[in-house]
Amino acid sequence: MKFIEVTIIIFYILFCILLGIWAQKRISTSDSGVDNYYAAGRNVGTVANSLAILAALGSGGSFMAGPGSVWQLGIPFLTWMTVGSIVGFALASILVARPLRNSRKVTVPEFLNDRYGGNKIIKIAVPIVIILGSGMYLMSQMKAGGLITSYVTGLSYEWGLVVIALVFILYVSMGGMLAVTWTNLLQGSLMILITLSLFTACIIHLPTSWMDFFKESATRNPTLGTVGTTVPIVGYLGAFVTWATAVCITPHLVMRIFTSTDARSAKLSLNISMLIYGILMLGLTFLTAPFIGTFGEAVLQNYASDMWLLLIAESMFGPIMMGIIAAGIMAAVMSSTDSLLLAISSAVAYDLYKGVINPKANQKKTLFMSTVVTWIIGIVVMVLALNPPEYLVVLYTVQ
Amino acid sequence: IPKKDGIFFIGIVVYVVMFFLPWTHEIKILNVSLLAWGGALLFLLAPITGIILTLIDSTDR
Repeated sequence: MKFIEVTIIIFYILFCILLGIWAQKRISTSDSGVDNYYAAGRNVGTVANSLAILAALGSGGSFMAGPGSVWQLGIPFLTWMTVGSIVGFALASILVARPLRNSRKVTVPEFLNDRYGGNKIIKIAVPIVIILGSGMYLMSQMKAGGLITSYVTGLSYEWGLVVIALVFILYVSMGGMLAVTWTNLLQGSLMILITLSLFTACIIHLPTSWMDFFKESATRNPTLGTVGTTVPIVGYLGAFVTWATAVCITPHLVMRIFTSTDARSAKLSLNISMLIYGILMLGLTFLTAPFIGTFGEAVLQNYASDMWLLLIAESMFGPIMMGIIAAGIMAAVMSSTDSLLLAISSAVAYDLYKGVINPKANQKKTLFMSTVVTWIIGIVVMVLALNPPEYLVVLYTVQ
Repeated sequence: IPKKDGIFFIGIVVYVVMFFLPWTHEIKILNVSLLAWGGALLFLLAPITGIILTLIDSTDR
């Protein structure tokens, strides 16, 4: 890894930590510290929340593995799988965003507990489900983060994982949702910047017109456009329904609705973020993925399909832009992992500790507990991610 | 559920069913099946419709 790329990554990491320190100062001097820590003070505007949702949804897998997956599994399957999450969010925005935002709660278990009249089972079961479900997702994302950090910095996988994990554990523990929101803003902007730069470079490097180039790619790789070659048709529908119903209810994304200024802003944020995500995914599918065919099978076999996007980028960009792309890919991973870590720590510190174990805990005690729990969970998941169960590989290669 | 939101939901179901009918599998545009183009179009249609429905919804104001 060259000096320029590493310097850009170090600047990005330092900026994230500074945002965490700023958020902590703002929370510690505020009267509504819990609201600030878990819901960013409920005053995140539409544009900021749109970028934050985009960053939390689009993980490293979406950007790194996207074009490679399109080339291997075909456009028909990938489009119907990915569009499921977009449709799910659009429907959630008109069906449930308003009652969620207007409830003035800060976590999903708190909302459900209120909705079902303080049922004791719900009070305990929902946080536990979130801890287990999001914990496995966080572990898989951490592993992806370790691999990407290792690739972009030249460190070993273990040290890459430790570096990226310590950075986001630090700023999440210090600034909670306020830090996550502002770092997600930076990360979302970085993701848009690198993807649009890649699209521009692809257009400049087109050997013929886009239509001829795309048609030739689909001829060279029939899997790209043919239905049913890699996955049966019923699998397309299954993937669509699964993504439409599962992605939009993940707690780390639902928590973003609580941060909106009002219900209208929450609904707009969900749809604007999905529109941006849709445009980025369409570009990666129809403009970037066809370039994979220009390398030839002999070259492609030397790299994992997750790395094919970087192959394309390296053939088009110099060291400064590659440094920004490396930081952008790290941002894509960190923006998902920090939101997941906050969702888990809130389930423990806010829903189980303050909600069940010690309901009389004051603001200072709750915030202290949140910081401690964030560090404990972050370190435990990081250690587990050093040698994760084999089935988790499926999770981090898909999203 | 407000009627216009219900129509949006039903519209998406009809759209998905329509593009999963067998006739879309064999028709190709630029060597890519119509089924894929239907999915790609939904990337833009769903959020744009969601934005329009939010903007015309007076209950949020």
